[in-house]
Amino acid sequence: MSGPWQFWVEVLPALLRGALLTLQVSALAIVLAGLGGVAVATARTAPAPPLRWAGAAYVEVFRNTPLLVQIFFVFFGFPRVGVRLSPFQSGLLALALYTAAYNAEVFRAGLEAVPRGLREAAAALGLSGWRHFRHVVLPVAVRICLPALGNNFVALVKNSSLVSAIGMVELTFVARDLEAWTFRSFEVYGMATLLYLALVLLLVWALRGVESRALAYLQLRER
Amino acid sequence: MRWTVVAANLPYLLGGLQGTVLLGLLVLALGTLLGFLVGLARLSRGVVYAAATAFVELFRDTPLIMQIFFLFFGLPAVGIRLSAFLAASVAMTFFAAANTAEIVRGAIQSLPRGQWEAARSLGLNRSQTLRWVILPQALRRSLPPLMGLFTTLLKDTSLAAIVNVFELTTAGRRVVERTLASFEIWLTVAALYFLVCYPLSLVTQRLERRLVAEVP
Amino acid sequence: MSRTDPIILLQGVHKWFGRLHVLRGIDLEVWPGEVVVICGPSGSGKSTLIRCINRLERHDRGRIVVDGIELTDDLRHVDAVRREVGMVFQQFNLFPHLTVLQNITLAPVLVRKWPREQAERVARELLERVGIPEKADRYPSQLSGGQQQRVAIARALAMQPKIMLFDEPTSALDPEMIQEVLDVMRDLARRGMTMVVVTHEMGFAREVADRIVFMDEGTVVEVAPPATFFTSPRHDRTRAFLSKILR
Repeated sequence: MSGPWQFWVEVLPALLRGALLTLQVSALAIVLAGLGGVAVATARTAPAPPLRWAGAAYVEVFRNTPLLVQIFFVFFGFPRVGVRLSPFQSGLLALALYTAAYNAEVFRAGLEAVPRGLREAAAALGLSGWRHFRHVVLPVAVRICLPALGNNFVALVKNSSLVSAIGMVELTFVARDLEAWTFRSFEVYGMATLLYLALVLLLVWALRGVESRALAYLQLRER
Repeated sequence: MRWTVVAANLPYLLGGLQGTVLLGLLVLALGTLLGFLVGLARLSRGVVYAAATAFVELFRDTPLIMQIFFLFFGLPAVGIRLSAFLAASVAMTFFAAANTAEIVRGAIQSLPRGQWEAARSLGLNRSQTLRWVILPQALRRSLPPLMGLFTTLLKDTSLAAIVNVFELTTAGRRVVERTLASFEIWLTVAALYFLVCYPLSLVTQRLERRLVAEVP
Repeated sequence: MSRTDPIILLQGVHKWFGRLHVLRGIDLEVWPGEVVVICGPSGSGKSTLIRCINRLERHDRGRIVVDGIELTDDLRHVDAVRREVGMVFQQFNLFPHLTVLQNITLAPVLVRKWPREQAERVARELLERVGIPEKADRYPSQLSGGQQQRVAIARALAMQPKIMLFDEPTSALDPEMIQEVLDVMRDLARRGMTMVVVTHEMGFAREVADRIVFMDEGTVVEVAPPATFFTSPRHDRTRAFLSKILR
């Protein structure tokens, strides 16, 4: 084998391994950022003022500073106070903390968007507590939240490329490495871009499935 | 902790911050201009629509850092050599334009269909309707998300550091390399970004609330 | 065109929304100076019908001729018809970023190419006529629903149309504001305007209409002058509708 095929046979497996690591760190960060977002949104809407302030401060601090700086702070800054994390751990932590701030805003908006009239109607019907939350708040909030959450997760996959800056061998890092080694930057970055596009579209497709399933499930059980 | 390092290097970091703000403003100005054109192109049909859509999807669905690498390292392969600064600003301009286009399109589509119908039933043609009825309203609605985009752009200028353009993050990295005070300096750099971005976020939220109050 | 030609002519008009057959062969003629009220249950296709007359909806089969111009895919014909046909919507659809005066002068200046002074003079006369001359420099959001709808009528009249279409003009109004809008429409009818009005206001229909068209399930069931329509409707469906709406 020779010619153009030879090049791709050498390069593609490395890129795919990079893409796999991108997928892994993104998937883990999505889970952590989802849980973190719920926690922060709960704090932001809590009855106790100090909790609300802490939640608001968290959201503002993480949304108004660059993710790259947060990654540098975790990876380079934490060791100075005795916390030493690997590039993977640092990247995962920073990605999750950053996206959690955005998720918290989505959850809060979703909860607030449940129309008051709907709550009152549910209360009048004698639905209360968990059943009210399950049958009234949740379906409406899911419908409002899921598209925005999807946007945050797509952004997360793209943002995971920044972890290459601290040496995590994910897709962007592999692409840079291959480029420096093969000098065929056009092909390498083009293919890496396509792989990101594929990951993002895969995620969008999966999220759409989750959305329609979730809605179908919630609505089916309402009747 | 050596906080005196921060004081000693603050002027240098502020120089970096200046670079960040200038780069952000440049990218915002060029990006929104281009973005409006792309957004309008997405209202048309055929090839123009397809090209505009491809542009928007490509620059919104792939990482900005890849776009910078592509322009900086990739274009020389086809004979176009851009400086790091130019590569970063062009990539970010395209990124800003793709996002602006989506904002403008979203704002136009958020207007009630009755606005189009009323204008058309009065005999205004499509471009008159767009110019006198739709765009003035859509631009007002675009303002808060465009302010939000500006905050995003200011944060994303940090990516220019990866190709060594001088701005706040690059300044921070150079100071850290020299002084090894990584915790103090990165915290300071984050604080400086926050000082610029947070007021912008507040203005954005204000505009959003006012718009919600005005729209019936 | 002789005096005896209809100013609006519909022949075998069909319209589908996807698989939904909303107009099933409509034949209708409207004569110059005539006031035609269209009524019927919701979903009967009456709004779609009136929206076809200035091509806010495209009909799929049949002919629509307005003032001697047939409505086709030719946009010049559509624009020509729209210049001669004014429309008033249920939701007013005023332009919220323009003042009342700007709302009214926009189309005459852009489409009729009138000088601004002329357009403003006509606009103020029309505001006088609809009874709110003092609101010229307000924005729509500062007006009540009834006032907004009167501005919308003035806006349509500023183009000096030959025909006025009203699509449920009082349905979005609070009850106490309905009369002020109907008064303006009555005045318009007295001055000889050709009007097609979709409405549930049967008092208005009885008093002002020359003919009443009853629609149901996409067809014209019955056409009659008010006297016969209300006292001796021929069809069961008309009787059923009237018994519900007149109570």
